[in-house]
Amino acid sequence: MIMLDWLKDNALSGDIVVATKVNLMRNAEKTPFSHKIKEEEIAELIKRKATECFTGDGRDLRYSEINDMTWQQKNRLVEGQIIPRELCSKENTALIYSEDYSISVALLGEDHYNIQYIKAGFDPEECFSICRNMASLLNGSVKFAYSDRFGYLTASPMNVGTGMKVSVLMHLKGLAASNSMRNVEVSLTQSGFSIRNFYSDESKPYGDLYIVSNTRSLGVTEQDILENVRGTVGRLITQEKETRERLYKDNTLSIEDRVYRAYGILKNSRVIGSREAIQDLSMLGLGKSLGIIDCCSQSMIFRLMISVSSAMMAEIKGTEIERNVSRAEMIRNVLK
Amino acid sequence: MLCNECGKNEASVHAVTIINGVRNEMHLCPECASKHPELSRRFESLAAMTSRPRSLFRNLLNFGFDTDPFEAMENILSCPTCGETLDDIRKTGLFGCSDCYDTFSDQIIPVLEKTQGSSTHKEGEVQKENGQNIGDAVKEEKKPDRLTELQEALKKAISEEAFEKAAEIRDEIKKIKGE
Repeated sequence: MIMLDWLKDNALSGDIVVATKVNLMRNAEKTPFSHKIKEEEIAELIKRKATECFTGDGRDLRYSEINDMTWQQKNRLVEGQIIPRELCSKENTALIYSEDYSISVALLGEDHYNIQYIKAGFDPEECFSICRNMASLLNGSVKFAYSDRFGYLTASPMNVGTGMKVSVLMHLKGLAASNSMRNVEVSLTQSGFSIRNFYSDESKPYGDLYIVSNTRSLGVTEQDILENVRGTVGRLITQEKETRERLYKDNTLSIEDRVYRAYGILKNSRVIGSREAIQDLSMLGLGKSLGIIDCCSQSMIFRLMISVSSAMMAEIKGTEIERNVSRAEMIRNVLK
Repeated sequence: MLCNECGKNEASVHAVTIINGVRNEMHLCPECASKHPELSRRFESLAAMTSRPRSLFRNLLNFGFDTDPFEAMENILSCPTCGETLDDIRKTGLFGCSDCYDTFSDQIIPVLEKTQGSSTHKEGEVQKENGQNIGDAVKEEKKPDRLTELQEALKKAISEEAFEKAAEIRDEIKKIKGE
């Protein structure tokens, strides 16, 4: 089964939060930002410093040039939240990563170094602590661009200060089904967060997966950001839970019907497209959290929701129909 | 009043220009006025003034100049380290180097206040490890190459009896070696 290994089960996996990711953006001091580097030697040295730091003896990280990857591999990394899309369109970019992709450092993207840790469940503190240790290790061989006034200096002024971004991937089926996403967006924006769809097709969202990230990186400490994330995401989880329960109480029969229909399709189909599969899995996730159905673990539903997308399955050889057959088979094998 | 230029038609365009303190009055008929591009430009500005207040301000400052003074001002301001101008930054949304934060601080502070709710860093985690400056590291790596190059140039200069040049090269070698 093709799926990203960082999405493995863990004790913190819940009904609503799929994964947490922290990024720390850093740049070498007195050196132009990535898009302005003209000398090959500087670009090479920026990459080599990180490679020496992270892939040296005893360390398990690997190094790949983005240009050497196939478009399928690149797409899979973008969709799997490992690299930002802009890393694929630029020359000279590279990635340092652990076997399960939970740890990664994107080199010469928007910033010289973008350190990332991603894990299943809701754990911003641990993600940050790993990123901080990575940054500290790198700082032993590269002096970072930093000013007392503006903090860590990043290419985009939107990340300056802490250079820190926390993103939380959430399944908000209840709020989406009750047409509350607009209100959620407004209240998140007011508290310094942004929200975007994980899956969308011709700008129409589907699958009810959302990424919530902090927009403030300046004038707040790393601990402030972590506390804000915990508070805001915590409130959103409560809101989603209450909405799910209310929806179920008010529409018991219709929700049970839709959950079992989704299960019927997923359990029995022989050919299934990615959009249909993801939408049915989202319904199944709701059913599982409300105790309507017990077909597999919630984290397995989340793993399927991410691994059955077209981008994730593009590496399987064959025609689109053949991939739709593999997708149906993959889901049938998992569901009880 | 008849047109100053053709002397036939009634003048309906009246323009007063003061250049270096010399006052010059022009009274033209519409036909002759249309032959003066500098006059028609001002009329366009007038039309624009009434429709957009921002243009009004720009045009007020623009009067009598060929370029927009705002644009001119912004383009003059470029980062001494990387050469990035505000215009470049506006296009990419990215600064060219860390010094841009100082160069464009007047422009960026209000933007940060608006988007981030603050323009001052609050110190939390600061990494104090002393890594190397990448620019210095590149120079460091080039050092042996540059030394060999200079030593050869020195030999050549001596063999050509170009002693003045040889002395210059010797000084540069000393500098690189840190003597």
